[in-house]
Amino acid sequence: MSAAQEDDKKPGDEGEAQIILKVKAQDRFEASFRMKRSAQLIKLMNASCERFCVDFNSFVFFFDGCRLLAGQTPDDLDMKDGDEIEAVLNLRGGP
Amino acid sequence: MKKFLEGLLQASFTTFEKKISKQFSDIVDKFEKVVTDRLTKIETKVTQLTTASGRTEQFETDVTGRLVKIQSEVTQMRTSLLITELAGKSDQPSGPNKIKIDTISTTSKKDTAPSKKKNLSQDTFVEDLDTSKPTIEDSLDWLELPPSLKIGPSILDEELARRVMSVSTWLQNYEIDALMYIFRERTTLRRCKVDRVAFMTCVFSDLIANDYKNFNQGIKQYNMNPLLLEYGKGELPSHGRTHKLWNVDVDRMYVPVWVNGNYWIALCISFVTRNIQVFDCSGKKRIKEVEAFTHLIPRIVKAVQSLTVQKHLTVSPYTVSYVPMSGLNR
Repeated sequence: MSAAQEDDKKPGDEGEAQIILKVKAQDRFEASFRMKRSAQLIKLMNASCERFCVDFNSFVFFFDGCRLLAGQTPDDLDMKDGDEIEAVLNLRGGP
Repeated sequence: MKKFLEGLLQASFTTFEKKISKQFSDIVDKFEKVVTDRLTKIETKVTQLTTASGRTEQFETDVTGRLVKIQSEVTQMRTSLLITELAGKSDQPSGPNKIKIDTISTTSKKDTAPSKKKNLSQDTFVEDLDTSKPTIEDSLDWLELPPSLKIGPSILDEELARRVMSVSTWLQNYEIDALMYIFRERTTLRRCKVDRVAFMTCVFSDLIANDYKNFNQGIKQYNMNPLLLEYGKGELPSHGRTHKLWNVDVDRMYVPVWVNGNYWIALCISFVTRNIQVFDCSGKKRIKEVEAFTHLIPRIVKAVQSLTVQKHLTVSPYTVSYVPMSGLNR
């Protein structure tokens, strides 16, 4: 059973390259996450919001000065291992 | 024999006297000649000197008269320069005027005696320029606009100030943070007269709001976010760090809060009176976001104190008072 699981994992790991990304938030700690290169970045955003104990709707994510969209993947943006994503509080209030 | 000897002596003496008198008369003559020569020389020199002194007096009067003229001209030029530069034409008039001053000084140099005029004219010339130059530059400094300051993503300038002060514009959190940073920096530099006051950021109020969700799930399982303690110690906000401990170095603090998903209010939290004043332009009776502060702030204050002080502090929630803001936003 355990052997079969390992067998299942191995081809998956080899087939899909993984990437380690750092998320840095304003006045908060850094956190690094490992994800598949072809996975959507919304997974990373949700995970980092949980880690930082913040509301998902009040934060926006930037990579290299461009805002990240939920449907994008690390492959789309040519990300490398150890690249830093910035999480910035974005609130707007009016009269 | 005696007579012979006397005669011989007398003869020799007379010859000796004659010789001496001759030599003496020669010497006296020579001396007189030399003295008269030298005296005449001295007299001529004295007459020269007297004439020279008369000249120098004339020179002095000339120089002083011209200097007075030059000074009056320079003052006139300075006033004209100031006026023209206040009018905005800074570069063009300053060049020719400076040249004029230079030419006047050179002409005055030509007329007067070399030793005196150099001292007099140059000294006054340098002094005048030294006093006139900084005044012009100072007047220009006043005319220049202050350089705009970049704070995070926002730039502090007239535009931002107008946005914040106007009644009908929507504000981003980083714009509010920029202004809170200005307040923080001004109090740490002691440019504001208020003392023992802290200014928090929107990030802090967001952190409180999210931590209060955990707090509501159960006090026993609740673990305070370590970042909140950093705020209590003055380590955060990192931009304009104060290192001031709440309730020890700080008596009250101001916090901007984002409420209802679309609206900004301000809180004044006093650690001494254990009271939170709410500044809300819309004049609501109750705001649920303030609750988080009433419960969490006393806990942070207690957690950051030393053990001896901690015993005397309670975590009972702060009271809330709504400050009437009569028609500020209407």
